[in-house]
Parts: sequence; structure tokens; C-alpha cells
Amino acid sequence: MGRALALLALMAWLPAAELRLSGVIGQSEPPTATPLAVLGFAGVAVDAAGRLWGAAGDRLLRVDDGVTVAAAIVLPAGIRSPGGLARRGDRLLAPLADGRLAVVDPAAGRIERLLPLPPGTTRVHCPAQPGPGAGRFLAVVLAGRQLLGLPEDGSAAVAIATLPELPGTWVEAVGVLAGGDVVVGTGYPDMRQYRLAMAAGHWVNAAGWPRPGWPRQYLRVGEATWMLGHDGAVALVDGASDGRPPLPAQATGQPHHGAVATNDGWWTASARGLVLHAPDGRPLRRLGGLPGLAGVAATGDGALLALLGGGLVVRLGQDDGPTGVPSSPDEQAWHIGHGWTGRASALAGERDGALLLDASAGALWRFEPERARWGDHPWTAAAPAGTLAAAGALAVGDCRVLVVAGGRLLEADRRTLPLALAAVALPDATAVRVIACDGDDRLYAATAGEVAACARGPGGFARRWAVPAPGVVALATLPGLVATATERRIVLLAAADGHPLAELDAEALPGRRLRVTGLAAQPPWLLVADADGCRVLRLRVVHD
Amino acid sequence: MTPIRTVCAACAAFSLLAAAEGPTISADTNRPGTSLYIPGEPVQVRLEVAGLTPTLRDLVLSLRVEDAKGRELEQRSLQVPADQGATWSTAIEAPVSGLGYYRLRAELSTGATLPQRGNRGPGYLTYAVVPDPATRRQPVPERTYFGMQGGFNDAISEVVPLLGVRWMMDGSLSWQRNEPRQAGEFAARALEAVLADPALKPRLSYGTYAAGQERRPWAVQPMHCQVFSNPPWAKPGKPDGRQVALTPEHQEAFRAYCTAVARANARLRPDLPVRVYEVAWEPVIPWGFTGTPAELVRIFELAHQGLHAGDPAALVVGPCEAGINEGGVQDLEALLKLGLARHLDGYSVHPYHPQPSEPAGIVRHIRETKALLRRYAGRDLPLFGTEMGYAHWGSPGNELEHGRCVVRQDLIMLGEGFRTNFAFYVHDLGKDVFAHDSGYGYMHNLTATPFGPDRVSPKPAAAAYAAMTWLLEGHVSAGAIEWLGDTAWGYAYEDGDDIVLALWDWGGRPRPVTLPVGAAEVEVLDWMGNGERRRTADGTLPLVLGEEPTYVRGAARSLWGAGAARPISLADGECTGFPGGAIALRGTLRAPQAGQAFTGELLVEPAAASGMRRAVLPVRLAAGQELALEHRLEVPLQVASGPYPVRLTLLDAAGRSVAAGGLRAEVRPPVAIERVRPLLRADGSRGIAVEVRDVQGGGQHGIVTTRLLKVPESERQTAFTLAPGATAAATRADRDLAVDATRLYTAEVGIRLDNGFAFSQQASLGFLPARRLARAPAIDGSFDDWQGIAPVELAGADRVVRSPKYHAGADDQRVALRCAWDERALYLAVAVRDDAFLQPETGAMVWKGDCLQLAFNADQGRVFARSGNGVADAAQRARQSELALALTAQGPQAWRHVSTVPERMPTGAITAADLPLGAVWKDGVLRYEAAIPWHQLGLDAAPPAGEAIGFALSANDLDEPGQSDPSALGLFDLKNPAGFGILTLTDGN
Repeated sequence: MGRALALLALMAWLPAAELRLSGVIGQSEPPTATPLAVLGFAGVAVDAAGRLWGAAGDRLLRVDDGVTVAAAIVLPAGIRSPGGLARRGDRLLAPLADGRLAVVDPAAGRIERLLPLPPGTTRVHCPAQPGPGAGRFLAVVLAGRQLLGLPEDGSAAVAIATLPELPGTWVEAVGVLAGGDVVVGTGYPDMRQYRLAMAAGHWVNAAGWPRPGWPRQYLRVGEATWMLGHDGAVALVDGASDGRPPLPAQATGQPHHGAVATNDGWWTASARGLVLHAPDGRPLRRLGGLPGLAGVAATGDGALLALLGGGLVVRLGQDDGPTGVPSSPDEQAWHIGHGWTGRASALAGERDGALLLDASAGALWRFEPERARWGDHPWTAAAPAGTLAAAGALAVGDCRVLVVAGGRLLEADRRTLPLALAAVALPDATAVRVIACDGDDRLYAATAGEVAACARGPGGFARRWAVPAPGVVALATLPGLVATATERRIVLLAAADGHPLAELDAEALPGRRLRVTGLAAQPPWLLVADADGCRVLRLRVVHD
Repeated sequence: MTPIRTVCAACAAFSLLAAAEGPTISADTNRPGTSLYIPGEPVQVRLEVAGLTPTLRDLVLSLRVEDAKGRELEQRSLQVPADQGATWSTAIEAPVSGLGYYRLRAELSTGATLPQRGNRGPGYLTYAVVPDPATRRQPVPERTYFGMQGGFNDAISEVVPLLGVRWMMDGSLSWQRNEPRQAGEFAARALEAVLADPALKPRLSYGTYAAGQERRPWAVQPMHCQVFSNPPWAKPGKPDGRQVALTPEHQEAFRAYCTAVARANARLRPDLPVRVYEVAWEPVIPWGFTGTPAELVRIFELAHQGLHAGDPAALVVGPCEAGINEGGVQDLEALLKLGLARHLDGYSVHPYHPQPSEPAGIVRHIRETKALLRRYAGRDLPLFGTEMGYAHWGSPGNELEHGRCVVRQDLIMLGEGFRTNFAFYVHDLGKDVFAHDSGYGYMHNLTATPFGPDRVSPKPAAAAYAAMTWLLEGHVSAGAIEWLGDTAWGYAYEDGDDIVLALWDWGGRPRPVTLPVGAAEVEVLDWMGNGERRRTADGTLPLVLGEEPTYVRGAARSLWGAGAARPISLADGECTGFPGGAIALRGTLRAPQAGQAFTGELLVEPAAASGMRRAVLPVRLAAGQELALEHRLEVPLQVASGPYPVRLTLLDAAGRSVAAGGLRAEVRPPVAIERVRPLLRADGSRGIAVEVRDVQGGGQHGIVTTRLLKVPESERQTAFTLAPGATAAATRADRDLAVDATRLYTAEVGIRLDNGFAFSQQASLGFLPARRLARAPAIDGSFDDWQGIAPVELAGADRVVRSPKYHAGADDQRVALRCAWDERALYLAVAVRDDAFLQPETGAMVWKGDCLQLAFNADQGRVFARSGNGVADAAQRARQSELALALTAQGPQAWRHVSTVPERMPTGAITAADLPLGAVWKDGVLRYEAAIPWHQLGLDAAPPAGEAIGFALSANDLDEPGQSDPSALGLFDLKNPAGFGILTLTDGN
């Protein structure tokens, strides 16, 4: 009786807490559907039936209602870059990285033919409809300075014309106008568009040709030809607009890999997904997911950083939803470090960015996404390669950063680079897998079987309490709370004594899907990296 | 021929640096004073290379002549012999291919280029060919439009006739000038002496021009300006450049002076049917005039009475505001409400405007001004522009843009009915004189003399201005042509049978148009005045419009004159409508050929972006018949607000265009978001209040949706109902909005009406409260009176805003801030927990030790629109200040380090009487308690509850005596007003 009363008294004394799902970030597929494990798209087209298709990796994905991936066609190789996806009549054409052109029957959901591209092909354009002039070709390609046409029947390529000498510049895009003339666009510094009159067989130098412009791709919309510019803008090149507004340039100008006009607006294929834009250029929603989600960090300005596959960092808003569009100065995910070889294993948020632990190189990077001015770079080496052998866990306190490496806890003042790391005592450091900090003087550490709370004293960190907690893969701290996560469950513990206060498991989540690979806290929000869902879950923590 | 490298100013400067030790080039035209020529005059350029040595070989001087747009007209290379002396020179015939502006670039093969000369950049010289003054007409004074301000040097007086300037400023009637010592000084002079005074003698001509074998004086008119300017004896206190209000005694003196000077002027200029007197000069409160608006209106009342008493033909104009932009219109209305219109016979203004003026709304601002004047005066007042310019310089590209903008605005003002406009300024005022004034000149100033130089050379604006005055002086507006496209614009002007159209497109892309001209042949001229005859197809002229005006001369008066019975005439040039509603087109159709019947169609073509439907209306007219036109344009629900051109074209039975017209359909949002404010309740709930106003006037129902960007679960919806024309607030606060008082947020506010119309806009918001107190706290550093006000806590490395290397963590420093207010003051209570208190300084240097630095902006959220008037823009400024509060060895001290309005908020020490301050260090906590009276922030009174001021704080922390800089925890950006937080004055509920 006394014990029961004591328990009742204890429960009455314990502060209440609640964990509830607030939203899903970064996964455009409905929770009950298969998560879309695709970050970026390399091409986009609308087929004859009006269905939207996107090319991602080695797949063509059919998107219904601009929302749901309804079908997929596997290609023998990825889409070539630049190349994109095109429609010709009732077929889709996909130039592949293996030097072939895939002719796809989207209605049947299969590849109909694979045609070899001429040797040395650098650019491919597929006229939207059979038509006069170069429109009679299945594809118009550029190989060296030769413009060649691929006949419909798959026979050998036919020479069309030779490009004029354009020293110091290169061809960015080839297109075919509604009347069958070929248009060729050059890059910097020439940045012009040249028109080949097919009927006359010569290059046009009147009526404003060559025109200014640095195109990445030519697009046909009805009888008009538009240009997807190097700055992301879509502008009318030839013909009459159907009243459709052009797509303005993106503020920071980096290329999309294709664009297509629908009744909803302009869809663009880009490194950040298949994105629908409003007429004023604002991205409205994105199709895509967060594949290989390996961790998440919260920054002080309301953004979250997601670590993908160990090598990419994507930024979204903490208030984003499933179709939120990632943001970055050049519209692409950031690649870790200065190059492509790093493999990040953990990240921890700072006010303006995050620290990333590069486990493969034993290094620590500081990442500040807003350092995007010309000549600047968002990555700074915080601890050079080789400094952190066998590093496994990372946490950021107030002024300190803590890393578990080589079986020891190392810490440094994070405001001074390079970090001057020094060992500090931590019980069972060799077994610690995950750590989190509350300020500089409280540390929470998870081993294979427990979570412990430690406080800093003269001799280093000393244990205050520990609770059994097998399989913890991530920790985060909130005021008065410690959030712990196994792969399938999140539990809130009282920071004072480790008592469990609330929990949420996969069964309660959309799609009943969860594999936690990271936690981040931005009170009152807890962000959960869910690798199985290719998404970030946002939970609201309610705590008296 | 060796191709010439393009020489840009920067490259030239670099080349000049590199070639500093080598030979140098100089050059000048054979008319070094102005470099202005009339057709047929030889243009020569003398070039000289100095510093030659025989060691220099194969020296080549490359020349390139280009037009205003940088198009190459000619290039040539000259061999420079280096072994025939240290100096070599030659003279060349400079190419001329018609009227216009020319730029000659010169570069030696060593890289040396022409040096900078005065305001003209390095690398080039300029010359221009302008219309012969002998071919210009001299219109009657009441039809004379073009004026120019300038320090005109008599040595180069030909500038005036060559540019076609007819109006010049005349300050000879200024009160300050004529009564410098005492009241009545002018009236006491004998009239004969006054009439014989050379300083008062009206200037009826300036400069001469060749007319055959003789030289004739160039007739000009004076604009008497600044009649009111305080003489020293009528300006009590410390005088500065501003005008001041008049005491009752001085008012009578001024009125008497006006009578006397007007009487004299009437005798001096008996030839004029009206004599114009501009009373004041930019009397903008507070930087141009220190009195109140009512005191300024009184001055106009006195001037009007006095001038009319002395001169029955007086035309008294004013108020001469500094711009015709958004702020200028508002200032004008404030004066009109006080009765200014009763004391004016005409309206004058310095019509500075943001450039380019068209997208910035110049036409709307002019028309709003006219509507205001009509409302308050009960009639249309004649309009006078007395100073208009655009400071844009530094490169040939900027000079081209300058020319385009000033010429277009002049055309707009003439087209909108102004009687005169004065261009500002004939020459650049020099780079070192009033930095914000650089670049106004129509001519380069080639000397170091800021005013009245004796050497100038043209910019593109000069040549284009000369062509404009040549074509249009003496013409009046026959109406706007506003339906050619969303960025196309133009006017028709007439002088009897002479019709001139001026058309352009400011959108940056060439725009092909077709225009009915009603003539078989017309003359089409470029903006420099070069013309060619063109035959039309059935009276229709195709043109391609660009950013420079194109002129068409010879269009039929029956089609384009103000009194023309046009085949298409509309009741309104501009119609307003709302999404979901309709715009009514009303007008009259007539047969294009008098006395003949007509069968055809009327095409109604709204701009595609408007979403309004195109229509084809059958037209059948008997000879002499007039047909009423009534057509409704349905405005789609989801269309962006703004103007949309609607073009009307009359086609005959064969489909040929026989007449055209149009209007601008202005789509306005049916509701407007007036204000967005944070809600900060004492119970801790937070929200957003949105004030919505019914613009359409029929009442509205709808939903307001608010959301804070980057704040999850922040979307809220609130229904609202608006009575017709009313404003209502939609508010909602709750405890779930996860906002932080230490952050600035962007709120997205969306409106959706019941009829489906929707729009959204963004606003900046902060949730830092200052609670209204019923009783002022005792300022003693004890915080006893602050219970019940929750502090805002600052702690941790992420809050460090200064010298983070000296911040040692949470144990080093923590800050708790509380804010409150009442009618007298803003109150602050700041507790700083510190491991060590160290403040070795006093006075201005207290910022180096433990202290608080506080920044305020009393004009938070107010937008100061730039007018293009350099003086006005420099004078408008938000009331910002930065204070430091410290506990020093001499006790608590307050110091103001920064003030944008030093006359109201002087920098330096602030006494305890002016700013009560308590500061107590005890038990490891330094407590600051301050009462900051509102006038210490530049305000006359406390803002009402709900208003906000900009705010930033830095709690400086010095830990060691030798520390080079204090660290600090802080809120927002102390040194950048754009980064200030928003401190909202709550009402305590």
C-alpha cells in the first residue's frame, strides 16, 4: 500500500509530456505509398496522354495529378547529362549515358527500341512532332561540329549541316523550331542562338538572328519554341506565346535539367527534384524524397539540414511539408567537404549551420550554407583529416564540441578553428555510440544497452544516472528532457532522472514506417530522420 | 588597319596606371568651350601625344568614334612618330553622320588613353551636332515650355540657344536679397532707382546665334523664384540654410514686400500678359522649412495677397515641393487640407521622381496630383515644373540611361499638361561637390569649378534634349497614347496643324507597333532629331519602339489633335475595376472618312496578362453618324493588380486598320491589407492582427490566413466582415504559436474573399513586448516594480554578438531583459549576471567596458521613398539613435553615440534629468533600470499602443583590464537598422 501510494505520489509529481506528430518533411509520396527514394530529376516530359513523366537515375517515373508516382519504367542506363527527356508524338525519348537513345512507349510502360547515337555525340534534341525540315528526324544530334539527324526508321544518321567556327565557345543546346529550322545555342562568352534555315540550307543572319541567349535546352509548347536558359529562366525564342508567362530566372541561377509546360505551370527537373513553379517563378511544390537519410540537424533560423547517403547535405525549412522544396544558393544539394570522397557519419546543428563528422577521413567539417558569395565556400576544415580516427559520435554544446573517437571523448572550443581537441574523461567511453549535450556541462551518452546522464566536474564527466535503453541510435536534448530513439521508437526521458515521460513508435506514424538515423531538437520541435520513409518527421514536444 | 580594342573607362584607368611613366595623350575639339555644333559646321579634333622618346617604336594611336549607344561609327589608326620630338600632334576631321551625340575614344598602343577631365571619365571626349537655333520657332510666352537651371557662364552662352532653353531661373525678386537689413527696405527705394537697378533688370535674352550673316540674341523668359526667403533679421535664433516661420510683425513685412516687388516687376515686364511668381523653394518640413504646415500655408497666403495687390497680372505658384513621388503627393495633400489652394494661382513642384519614371508610377503621381488640386481648388490649376533631374553618372552606359530617363520624363510632363519644366542641371556639379548631386548635368563639367565652368562637353542628354526642344517647343499636349502595350507609352502634341507624336517602350525589348497616322507620308525622327520620310500603307505606320523616344511628324490633326473627332474616342483614358467585376468601356465611334458611311469591326484587345477577353464588335455607321460604344470587360477573379492596356482597333471591311485608340484598365484589389501587427497578450498567448480595408466599397466577407515562415504549425485563419469602405481587424492569439521574442519573422498574410478573389503579401514581425504600465517604476536599480513582467533571457554562445573569443560560456554572462512604457517614457530593466564587473571608463568610452548599448529606430517600418532629388533624399531620414548606459566610477551614466537627427537628439552625455538611470552591482548581478523619455528617441509623444519601434541591444562584458574588446550577448544587429528587432508597445492586456 505504501509503495503504491509512493508510486502514485511520484506519478503525480512527474511533469507531464507528450509527443505528437506535427508533419512530414521532404517526402512527396503519400505515407501509404512507397516512399520516393529520389532526390533530383534529370529530365521531364508530358506524354501524348497528358501525363507527367520524370527521369531520375535509371528510371522514368510517371506522376499522376502532379503528386503520386503511379508507374516506373526501368532504363538500361541513366539519362545522359545534358540530355533530358523528350516527347515525340506518342513516344518518349530518353538519351542515355551509355550512348544510346531509348524510345519508350509510355502507354505500354516499356522500352520499344534502343538506337545507337552517332560517335562523338555531345548534344541531342528530339523534335516534339514529326514535321518539316529537321522535324522529320527522330533526333537531331551534334557530334563535333556536325549536325546529324537520326531517321525515324533507325537507319544511319544523316548529315544536316556543319556549324560555323565559334572559337572560344561551345554549343550548349540544339533545338528544332516549329517550321523545321534548327536552332543552336552557344555558351559563354558567345551566348547566342544561331538559326539554320533548312529549306535554304544556310544560317540565317537577319530578323534578329543570331539572337542573344545562353540556352541549356529548347522546349516546344504548341507552335512556339522556348528556351530553358542557363540561369533557369524559360523565355520565348520563336513563334507566338499562348499567353503563358515565361518562367523568371532563379535568383541564384543554376540550371535545371529540363522543363515542361502544363496547365498548372512550369515543371522543372533539377537536382532538387521535380519542381512546379508559379508564374512568378516561386517554387510551389516538389516531387522527390530524401534517399539515404543518415542524419538531421536544426539551425537557429528555422531550417533543417539533412545528411543524405553520407555525402550530400540538403536544406529544408522546419515548417516545410511533404512537397517542400529544398533551398540552396545554387539549387543543388551540397557535397560534403571540398570534394566528393568524404562520408559523413554524423552531424550536429549550430546557429548558422552544422558540424559534420567525416568518419572515412577522420575529419570534422564546419558547414555554413549562407557562405555563398563568389570566392567564398561553405565548408571549413574544423579538424583536419586523420585527426579523429575511428570517430563515431558528435555533439555540440554551448561553446564546446564533443566527439567520441578512438574510444575516447574529445572536446574543444568550437569557436576557434582549427579545433584544439583534448581528451576528457567519460565513463565507458569505449562503448559509447551516440552523445548529446545540454550546454557544456551536461552530456547524455548511449551505449548498446543504456542511456546515461553525465555532469562535468573537475575530473571530467561523471555519471549522474543511467537507465536501460537497448538499441539507441540517436539522442537529442530539449529543456528538461532527453529524447532517445531506437530504430523504431522515440522515447522522452526526464532530464533530471531519466524517467520515461512519453513515447511514439512506428505503429503510430504514417505508413507505420520508421527507421531512425538521427534526431535534432529545436524546441518545441523534435526532428526525426526516417531512412525507411526517406523523410524527416517533425514531432511537437509538449512539456509542462 | 589594326583593329582597335574596346576601351572602357576601367580598362582605360588601368592602362593609364600602367602607362604612367610613358607618353600621354590629350585632345580637344575646335570648339573647346562647349563642343556643340550645328549641321554644316566642321568638327575637328586636335590630338597631342607628349612624352615621346626615340626608344618608343611602332607607336600607334587608335581612334574609335561611337554614338550614344556605343555603336561604332568609325575607327582609324594613326602612326605616331616617336623620333621627331617629345611631342606630336595632329588634327582630324571628326566624323559626323547627322544630328546627335558622338564619343571619340583614343588609345595609344602603350595603353595610355585620354585622361579624366573634370566630370568626364577617362578615355574619351564628346561632341554633338544639334539643330540650328535659326530654325527654331519662338513661341508666345504662355506656350513656352522648356527651361533649364544652370550656372551659365557667359563665356559659353551659346549653350542656351543650342539646347533650345527658353526659361531661366531668376532669383532677383527674393526677399532675402532685396531687404537684407530691415523691413521696408525695398519699398523705401525710389521706383526709378528700382527700375534702373541692373540686378533687377529682366533678362530677356541670353547668348546669341547665327542667323545668316548676323548674330541675333536668343530670347528667354525669367521664372521668378524664391520670393520668400527669410532675410537674416527675419530669422531668429541660430540661422542655418532652412526657411523659418514668420512672427506676426515679420508677416506684415513680408506681405508689404510682396506688394512692393510685384508693383516693380509689373513695371519691369509690362509686355507679359501674366507674370509668374514662385513663392518658395522646397519648403519641405523639417529640412527646408522649420515651421508647421499651417505656418507655411500662412506664408503663401501673405504672398498671394501681397503679390496680387502689387501686380494684377500676378500668377502665384507653389508650393514647390521636392518631388512628385508618393511622399510628395502626400505632403501636398497635407497642405491642401489646410487651405493652400486658396492662395495659389498655379501649382509648382520640383518634379524629381525615381528613375526610370514610368514603372515607378510618374503618370499616376501626376494624375493624382492633378486630381488633388482639382478637388481642393475646385478647378484645374496650371502646372509648373521648376527643377527636375536625375543623378546618374560614372560610365557611358549610365550617361545613356540618364539621357533616356530625363528626356522621357520631360515628354511625360509636357504630355500630362505641364506649362513648363526646368531641367536640372546644365552641367555636372563636380565629383567633390555634394556627392549625391554628381551626375545631374546634361553636359560634362570639364573644370574644377563647381558652378559656371567655362568648359563643358555634351552627354547624350544634351543632344537629345536639343532635338526635343526643337521639335516640341510651342506645342501643347493632345493626349496620352497609352494602349500600345504594357510598357509602351507616348503622347500626341500639337501646335496648330503641326502634330508630333513621341513614342517609346521602357520595357527593355523592342516593341513593334502599328499606328494610324491619317496621312500618306510622315516624317519619322530618332531621338536626336534625324528624320526620314516614310510612306504609309493606308495611313498606317509600322514602328519599332525602343527605350529612346521616336518622333512622328505629320500625322493628321483630324486624327491626333486634341479637338479631333476621332473615329474612336473614349470617355475615359483610364478605367478602374476589381477582380470578379467588370470595367465599362464607353465612348463614341465615327466613320474614319468624313461624309462617308463605314462598315467594319472594332477589335477590343486587352493585354493578355489581364485575362480579360478579346472581343470583335461589328460596326456599321451611316455618313456623319456617331455610335455610342459600350462594352464590358469582365475582370477575372485571379488577376494581379495593376494597369493593363486595352487597345481598340477599327478595321474596315477588308480587314485594314483605319483607326486605333485605347485606354489603361487599372485593376485594383478589392481589399487592402493596411497593417500587420503582433499580438502579445499578458497571458502569454501570441498571434497576429491584420487590419483589412474595403477598397471596392461594397463591403466584403472573407478569410485572413496568416503564417510565419519557418515556424511550423503557425498557420491561422480568421474570418472577417467589412462594412462598405470600412477597415476591420482580424485577430487571433493562442498559446500554441511557437515564437521567440528574440527573433524576427516574416509573416505571410493571405486574403481570400467569399467571391474567390485571393492575394497575399509578406510583412516583417517581431514578438518582443513592452508592457504598458499603469504606474511608472521607481528608477533605482531594484526591479521591485517589475514583478509580473516575464524577462527575455539571453545566454549561450549563440547569443554572442561581439568578440566571441572573450566569451567564456554560460558562467561568464547571462542577460535578462524587461521592457515597459507609458505616456512619458520607455522603461528598461536589464539584469546582467556576470562573473566579473569591470567598467574602467567614463563618458564616451564606456562602450569598452561593462555596459548596455541600445539602438532605437522611432520610424520602424516607415518607408522613405527615394525621390531622385539628392537634397531631399539626403534630408529624409529615420529617427535613429544609439545609447550607452553604464555604471561608472562616477555613478550611472548615459551617452548618446549615434543620432540621425542631431538637432533633436544631440550626441554626447545625457544628464540624469533627461534620462533617469539606476545601475546597481550586487551579488554578481548588474541591474540597469532606465526611463527613456520619448523625446530622447526623437518623438514628440508616446506612440499609441500597438505601435512598434526598432530596437537592438548589446550587453558588453569586459573581463580583463587588458582585453582589447568586450564580448557581448545581444539581441538583433546593433549597428544595422535593417537588422533591428521590433519592440511592440502593448496595452497591458
